[in-house]
Amino acid sequence: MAIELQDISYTYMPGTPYERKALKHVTLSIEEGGFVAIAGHTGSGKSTLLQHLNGLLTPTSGQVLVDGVNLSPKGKAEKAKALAARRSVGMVFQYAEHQLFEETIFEDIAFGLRNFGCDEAEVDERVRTSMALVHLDFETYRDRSPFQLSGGQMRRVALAGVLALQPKYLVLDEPTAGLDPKGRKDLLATIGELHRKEGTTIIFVSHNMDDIFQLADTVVVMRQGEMLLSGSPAEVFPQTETIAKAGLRPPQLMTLLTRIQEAGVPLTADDLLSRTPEQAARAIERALKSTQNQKGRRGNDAQ
Amino acid sequence: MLNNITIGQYFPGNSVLHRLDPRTKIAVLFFLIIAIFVFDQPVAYLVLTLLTFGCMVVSRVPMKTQIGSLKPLWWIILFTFLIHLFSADGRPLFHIWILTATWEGLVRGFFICLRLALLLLLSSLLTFTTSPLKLTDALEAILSSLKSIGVPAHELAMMMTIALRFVPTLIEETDKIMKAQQSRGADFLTGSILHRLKNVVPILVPLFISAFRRADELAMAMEARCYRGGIGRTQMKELRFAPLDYVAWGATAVLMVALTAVAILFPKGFL
Ligand SMILES: Nc1ncnc2c1ncn2[C@@H]1O[C@H](COP(=O)(O)OP(=O)(O)OP(=O)(O)O)[C@@H](O)[C@H]1O
Ligand SMILES: [Mg+2]
Repeated sequence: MAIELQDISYTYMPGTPYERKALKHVTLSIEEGGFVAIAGHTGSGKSTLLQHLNGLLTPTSGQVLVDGVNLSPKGKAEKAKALAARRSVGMVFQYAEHQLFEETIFEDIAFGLRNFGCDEAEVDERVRTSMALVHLDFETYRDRSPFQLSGGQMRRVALAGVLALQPKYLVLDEPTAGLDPKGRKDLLATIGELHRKEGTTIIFVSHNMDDIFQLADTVVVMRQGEMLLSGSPAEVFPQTETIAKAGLRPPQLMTLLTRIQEAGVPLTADDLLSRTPEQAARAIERALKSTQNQKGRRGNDAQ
Repeated sequence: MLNNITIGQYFPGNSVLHRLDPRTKIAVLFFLIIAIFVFDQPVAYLVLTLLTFGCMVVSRVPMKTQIGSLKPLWWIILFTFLIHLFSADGRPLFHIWILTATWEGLVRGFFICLRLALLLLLSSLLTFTTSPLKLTDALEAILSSLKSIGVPAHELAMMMTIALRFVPTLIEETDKIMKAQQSRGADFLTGSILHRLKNVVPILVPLFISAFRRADELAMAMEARCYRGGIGRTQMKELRFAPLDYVAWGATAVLMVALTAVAILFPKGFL
């Protein structure tokens, strides 16, 4: 089962001078259990694309299928099905903390659950679990006002509000924008954990190629409303020229390893795709050792 | 959802009307409105109608949009027409129930409605062809002649600019918040009135918070740039009359004089 975008296009404000084609014939399939990153220059249509995934926007042409259900059907019977399908896609907006409104954190997280018609016991239960997922202590925070928290904590509350709905697919628009390095790392760790432990399919937008490189198993590169590239990071990032055309740069680790390779250290193509600094360090060590061995051998031969 | 609200009604373009100085446009509009109200000879109607349609064509704003600006007052126009149709004395045209439509009523109703329509079309033409920024600039220029009697011209214009500036921002913000809450299952479109009212809270609270935050940030930014009101402030793009403006002024003057002459010489009209 998967989310499928079939040849979707979207135009903002059609028929006015402000008309703007934000998406052009995008076809994309997101497998269940995937960890998909969407990258692209500002204004390339990433947020527009995301909003199609749970039916907030209806494509001007083409269709969106979630687990085989069309999100914008014509018939009445299918509408109920479409609603259920939409609800299986949780959406965390950019600066999600700006959507908080309740008096207490508990109530804010429970907002979605109440809308979905959960009973009190279940609401309580699910708020507890989702607060644990985002590492907020239930007893400490349940009765506090969300507006007394720091920005990073507020974003956690907003994330918990979506997680409480137990979405099968979690869509995040620049989840780490405006967070300090630690907040960013924690949040990404939380998302990684969700993917690993709960098996949630993650789709996220990020401007940070390093994060994408470390986390994602699929990268989609957008440019002016079109999908320029998609594939695994190992397939996408070595295409440096195409990536540069989209206004992006390769991950720093990859750039560094390429430079080291150019300087004469015999790194293999696989080494260049090391995802963590530790992995990279091991690769460099191995390569250096092998050159030393060769040099040593050559030295012996000369004698 | 809120995508189809045209921002401030302004239609960017480069027509003669777009290029006219906004002060000229406001002044000309002012005189034309007076003319529409004062002169009621058929020939005056004819001239003003032709003039209005001429301007509408010249502006190159889509006709459908321009005619669409009549929509909000459609019912008022119709109502006015019916009142005149049935309330005027004269030759009876037809009867409905206890009401009698008259020939004179029909004519008078038609002209009154024509007046209303011209008024609306001309005023929307001003907002269609003038960016909000220019409009407030012109307003400041016009108001500043009243400074001597204590009208805070600059402050009023500044308030208007800021308000206009933030309309699209707040619309965008509302759209985003609505979408975010919808993703959490909020439903603003169906259900009873009470239910829908209750569902406005999750939009209003974040919207107010963000509006206050923006206001705060704006005030801070203005202060950081030493904003102290209008005293001694100069403008990067000063409003200047171009030859085109003198033509417009001249044409308006000729038109007003001609209409006045017709009104005095042929008070009963000659058509
Ligand atoms: N509500 C809207 N009304 C009109 N045009 C819009 C609207 N939202 C986005 N656009 C336009 O659509 C295009 C794509 O916007 P989108 O928000 O999807 O970009 P993005 O890739 O998310 O950019 P960013 O990285 O800055 O968030 C942009 O050119 C933008 O100007
Ligand atoms: Mg975006």
